[in-house]
Amino acid sequence: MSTETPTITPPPLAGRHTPTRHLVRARGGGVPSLFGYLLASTRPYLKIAALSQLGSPVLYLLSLGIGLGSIVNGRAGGQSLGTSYLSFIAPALIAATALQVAVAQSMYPILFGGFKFQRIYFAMNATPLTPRQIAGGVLAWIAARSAITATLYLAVVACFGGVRSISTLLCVPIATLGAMALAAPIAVYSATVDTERGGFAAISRFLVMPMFLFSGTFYPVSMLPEWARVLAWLSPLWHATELARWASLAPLHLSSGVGQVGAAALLGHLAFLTVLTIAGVLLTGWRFRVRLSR
Amino acid sequence: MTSAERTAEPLIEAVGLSKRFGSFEAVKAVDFSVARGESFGFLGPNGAGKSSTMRMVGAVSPASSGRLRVLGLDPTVAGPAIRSRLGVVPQQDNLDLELTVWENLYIYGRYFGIPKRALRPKIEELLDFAQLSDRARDKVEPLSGGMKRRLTIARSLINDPEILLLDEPTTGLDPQARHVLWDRLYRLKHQGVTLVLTTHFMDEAEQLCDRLVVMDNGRIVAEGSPARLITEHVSREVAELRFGIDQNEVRAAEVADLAERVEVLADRLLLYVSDGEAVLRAVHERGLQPVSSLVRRASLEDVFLRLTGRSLVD
Repeated sequence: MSTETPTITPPPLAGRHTPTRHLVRARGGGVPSLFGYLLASTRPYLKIAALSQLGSPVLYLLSLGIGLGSIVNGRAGGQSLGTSYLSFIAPALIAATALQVAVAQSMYPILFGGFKFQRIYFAMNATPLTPRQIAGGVLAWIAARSAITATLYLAVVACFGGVRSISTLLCVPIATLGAMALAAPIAVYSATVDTERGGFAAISRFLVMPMFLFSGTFYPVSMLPEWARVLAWLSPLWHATELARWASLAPLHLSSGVGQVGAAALLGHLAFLTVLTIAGVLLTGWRFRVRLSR
Repeated sequence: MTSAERTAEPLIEAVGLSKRFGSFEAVKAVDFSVARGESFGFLGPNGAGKSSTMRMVGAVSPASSGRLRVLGLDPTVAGPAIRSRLGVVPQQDNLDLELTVWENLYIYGRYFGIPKRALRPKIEELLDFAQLSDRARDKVEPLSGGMKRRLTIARSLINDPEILLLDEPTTGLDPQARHVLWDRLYRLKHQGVTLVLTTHFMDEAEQLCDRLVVMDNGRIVAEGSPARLITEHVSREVAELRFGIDQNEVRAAEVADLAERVEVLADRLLLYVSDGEAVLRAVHERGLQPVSSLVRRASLEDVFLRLTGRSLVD
């Protein structure tokens, strides 16, 4: 813009509009401009977020990987796994933590900050941004947060000596996909309900927490009774865990077979997570549109 | 309608515009148009359909039926293009409370796709306009209601809008903050920004609107300039008499012949007259002693009462 800006009041504010300028602008800042907001809104929590995102893996890996691991490795566990307990649980913990971060971001911030109290999505929608773009930006941001979480976690795992193959790096996109397979459907819920009535707490306690315990994070689900295994199969986290473990341990060709996943199963895991994610993204866009255009 | 007075094509044109939510019809086939540079108001009580109309004009809420053109474009297909040229001040502030004043403006400008270089000077200008320059680096949360409102208005101007939509711009503000805000809006009006506002304050409508429509129950019940609405629908002056709650009804009959029209409210009588002082004397000559009385100019409040049988603010 080439308008001169006098520093004194009253400033010129209108009456100099050329249609072409607005045509160029009509699409607005799009999803990238939403990232600017989401970044800025996270800044006040950056220290605490960084602390928890580094602190949590340190604690988990110390207590489970090293502490519990020393028992597991020293007994039959070491033989049946064929690798250190740390390297067994690390990929699963990366997937689980990325999922927890994503779920948290897909509940209160969307319903309370976005739609109900601060109502920032309504403010966004008064600009050229469309409800779909807003939904897309919010979900893309959640995915980015998960990816950052997974990356930091992986770095801490590496410091603990838990990374045994280069393809362990694949844990980051896998964990992100697994996280979105749950977070995007939850975002649909958050964008739909008027009052959560304890729904978010229920999601955390009765969905995320059991998922963490029964998705093969700490032991293979084959240890579970048959009926509990079926539940694991429905859990996005189990699919992500299987994939993450495959990415980090399959190249080692462990004699225990840990980390080995057949091609069909591989595709099955990916398809399950992808379908949930895509459905969640599409439905979130739809709910945002319905709610913002009332 | 007064379309003959206008030369240019209207910036906003609505014909038979309706909005339904399920079985509830919030806006019932309203017609109106707004010319460039005009200050146009929707006056009416809560629930009259003003905000629903504003959201349709703001190209965020699709019309249920009827025809609407904003800046010559159809909001159902050109929403983003229209919104890129509008400024919107919603009824409830939706600022980001955890960000600073400056960040709120900057990020909002980015939503419009305004380049970073262009935004910085623009923000300085708007902070100056909103009298918030010294609060630029402060978070929004602790600001007063009036300051937040001014920031919302500043934010709505970030894209040099051709039309500024203000939904209840001063509701909830103290009198001083309202006057500061009116002064800012008055400046915008003088700079040629087309203002479209809703209000249930008649003084606000009188201050800011060149022309307005009175809405009630989803319908437009009158249209015109504030002065014309008053001359068309009510007398020049109003004598207000208070006889005490249980007396008003009885006394109304005794003074009815003195006025063009008498309204009996819960707490007072309104006598619509051309010369209030003369009528007041006549009332006293009849030996009637109201507890209190006053004479005032007729206002839009009286117009609304006349048209709907109810007062604007319950």
